[in-house]
Amino acid sequence: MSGGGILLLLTLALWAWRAVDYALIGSLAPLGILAFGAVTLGLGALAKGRWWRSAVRIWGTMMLLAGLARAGLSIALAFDPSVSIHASEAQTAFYHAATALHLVAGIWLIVRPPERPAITRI
Amino acid sequence: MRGSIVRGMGVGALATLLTMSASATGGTGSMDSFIGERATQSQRAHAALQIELALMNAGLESEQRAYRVPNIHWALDLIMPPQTGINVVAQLPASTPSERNIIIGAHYDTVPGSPGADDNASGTYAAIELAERLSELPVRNTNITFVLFDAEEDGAVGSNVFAAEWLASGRPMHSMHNIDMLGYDGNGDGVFDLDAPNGPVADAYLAAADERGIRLVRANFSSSDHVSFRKRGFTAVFLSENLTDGDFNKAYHSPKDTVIDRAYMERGIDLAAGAIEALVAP
Repeated sequence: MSGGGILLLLTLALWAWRAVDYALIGSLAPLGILAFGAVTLGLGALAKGRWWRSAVRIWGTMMLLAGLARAGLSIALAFDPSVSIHASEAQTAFYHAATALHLVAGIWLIVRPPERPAITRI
Repeated sequence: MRGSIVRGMGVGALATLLTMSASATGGTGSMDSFIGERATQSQRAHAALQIELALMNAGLESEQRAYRVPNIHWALDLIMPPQTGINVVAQLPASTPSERNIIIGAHYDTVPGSPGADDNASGTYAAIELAERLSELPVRNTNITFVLFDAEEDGAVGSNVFAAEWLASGRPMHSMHNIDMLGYDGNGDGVFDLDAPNGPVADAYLAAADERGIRLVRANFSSSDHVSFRKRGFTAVFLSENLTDGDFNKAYHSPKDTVIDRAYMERGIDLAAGAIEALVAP
């Protein structure tokens, strides 16, 4: 599997985990993002032509925006940690690693989208 | 509230922790033991134990209700972990079976970097002293629930969780009484602020103030824990020091919030006790 393919799967897995975690406590916002991404990628995989690359770039753009939002929050908290103790305590190694994944995957998927997966039509 | 998780703690484990807490702080729920930063999860967890100990000393059994809920705005759910915290809840049943319920609450958390004496060790202490005083009433026609809320400073999360759970339970609520900042009287005029809807609850406070020679200023406050109840349709009261007449505590949300005017605070507690006694033991 290509690097882009691995990054695509990693971001989907991360959002699947977030979607389930939040759905269990009553928030469907992450599930909505995941569903939008999954439908876009699914339609892109089934369609002919350049739709797959466009679908991956849409997902990559969403990941890049999420990464920028996460990084922006970290930078804001570095200047004033008292804004929110909850947000400050969220700044763990896992949080920063996930931010890096979003940024790297976002840029990668936009610049070098992986090849369309092979789909066997029945 | 969406996704709240309530869990209890074993009595044995709690007793051990409470003993450790008491020996660590050198107190058994005295007011001084509530002063100190209570912002991080570990600081708040320690404070919750101290509150349980103080309620136990006041003669009430309490429980920690831990919660894990979505963030205050859905967009934050996309980039942040869920919010977690602990409300401490104690029940004082009516002396005869009753469907009437009154909630008395105060938040115990602080902003980072502040010892939170006025905001809100004073309210925490007031709620616990009210628990002690009201439990001594020989007759009560109302169930009273005391709640020490977590994470008021982070968007009134604890009170939103509690109010949502109460609403979902379908139990009636006569009124909620929120005490937030009761320990500063810079100009020494002895005035308190009251935000309460017109009606029997406000009348009870006004009568209690009259009896004690206390001047109450009617005010409107759109922040603090009472708002979590009002937005769900409950009657909620906010009692505080005089925040509105240019007598605002300059140490608010700062490392200098280390002092409580105890005599003034006790007058505020006595005022609240008088009003609530009139409501629960008419």
